[in-house]
Amino acid sequence: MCGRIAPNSRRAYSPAMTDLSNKVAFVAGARSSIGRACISALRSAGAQICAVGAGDADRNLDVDVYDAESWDEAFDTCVKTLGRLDVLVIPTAGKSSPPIEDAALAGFVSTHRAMVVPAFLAQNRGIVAMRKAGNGGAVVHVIPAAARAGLEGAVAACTASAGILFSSKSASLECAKEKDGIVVNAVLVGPVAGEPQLPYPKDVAAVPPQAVADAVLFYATDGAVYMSGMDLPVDGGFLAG
Amino acid sequence: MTDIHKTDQLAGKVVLITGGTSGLGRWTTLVTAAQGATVVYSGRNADGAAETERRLKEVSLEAEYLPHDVTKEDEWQSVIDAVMKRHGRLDGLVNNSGVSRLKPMDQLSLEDLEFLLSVNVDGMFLGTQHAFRVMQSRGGSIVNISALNALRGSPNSTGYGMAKAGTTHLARAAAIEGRKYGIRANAVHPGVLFEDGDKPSPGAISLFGEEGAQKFVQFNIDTTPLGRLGHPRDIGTAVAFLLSDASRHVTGAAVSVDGGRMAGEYLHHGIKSQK
Repeated sequence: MCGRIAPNSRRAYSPAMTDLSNKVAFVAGARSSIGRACISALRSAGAQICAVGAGDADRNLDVDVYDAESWDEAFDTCVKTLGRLDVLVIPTAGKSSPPIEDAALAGFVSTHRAMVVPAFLAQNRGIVAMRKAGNGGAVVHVIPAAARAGLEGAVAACTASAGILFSSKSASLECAKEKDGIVVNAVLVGPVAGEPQLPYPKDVAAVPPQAVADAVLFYATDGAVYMSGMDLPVDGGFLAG
Repeated sequence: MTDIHKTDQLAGKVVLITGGTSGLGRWTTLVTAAQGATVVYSGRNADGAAETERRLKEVSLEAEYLPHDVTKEDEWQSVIDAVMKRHGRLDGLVNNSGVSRLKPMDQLSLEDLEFLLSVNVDGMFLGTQHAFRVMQSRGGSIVNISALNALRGSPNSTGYGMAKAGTTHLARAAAIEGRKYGIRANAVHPGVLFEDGDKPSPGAISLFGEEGAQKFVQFNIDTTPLGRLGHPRDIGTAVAFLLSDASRHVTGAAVSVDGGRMAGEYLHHGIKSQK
């Protein structure tokens, strides 16, 4: 089943079609390959970038990802130094899950905490900061495709992924109700090339980080004008079959 | 005035769009051509084609029109033959031609159902099959225009919803079979669209009458989280993304461009509260 995908695809996402000049993007996790690919794509589209952790950004910020105030400080710094906050990218990597036989709650809680809490805080505190900045904006989660499909050996990572996905859908409705001009969407990724994996079936092809960044860029620009609460699989068809 | 953003996202690609002679298909033709594709649009309505042509000229774009009834297999053969003869390749197919008849279940005739299935399912199946034959050598992207009615139950749409569910599933099935050829297939689910302010479309007026159509528009605004109807250009932009290499790992997806309606249960909830 691990087939070719678009063999005629060699062109990268051209900066000409997505103009983010004069826009500021915040990448809530620069260390992963997806974070790095997003920074590179956003930069080539002209955005100025704040990033959590080391990376090729205009501002690199340290954040205690389990602490709401730490996120608030980071978003404040972003708006103070770069002047605005238009795009917020929140990449969440899948973490290993305890086996079903594990009676202790600690493993389940730890996977949930590692995946859900940073994404939840980044989303909520980011939306608060975007509202304060007042230009509207696009929040884009990058979540394992396990949000919509069970995986053997991933009982905690699947529920955590689904939790983030549905938190993003709820946030999209709250933002729409506030008429704050903020849309919230998600990209669901299959196994990512070069990253530690959730236990996807062996025949699921790995997705290059750049393809994920291209989808993020679509959401961050004119693609998201009328889209909110949507999840787009970038998974080579894993969720379709 | 046709407000459109030109890019090179689809440069070098040959794209066929069915039903490019009206509404959403016309805007998809405009957006796709504006993003650099060589576009062939087809349809039954020559007057509509002339209007598409006029709108293209207005923004200094070109596309080629072919007469086409999507329910006829021989016409698919000649349209695909014409594209291949002229351009030597087909990179994208937008199965956009669709029809709707909204009636309560007890008034929906078998003839109504067959009509809905013939265009929304047969037409898109024939398109997908013919595109597969010419795309197998180099890959390609197929986009089926479906509807939110495919994803949720709604009143008066027994036949329309069944047909559009077929449209959505066809994309999913084509995604799986297309994988080994590098052919991607996705379905797009538009929310309720407007082109001219929040005025009801001629289609809505013929269905509900002038006053009913105004109510229909207001109801849809009220039940759309973003609080406004969509513009066909928004859908065209999503279609162009799915045709482009930027979406090279996106296949089998059900993409909603709907102002957030599918994020919750707005379609259903709104209908309940309408009563």
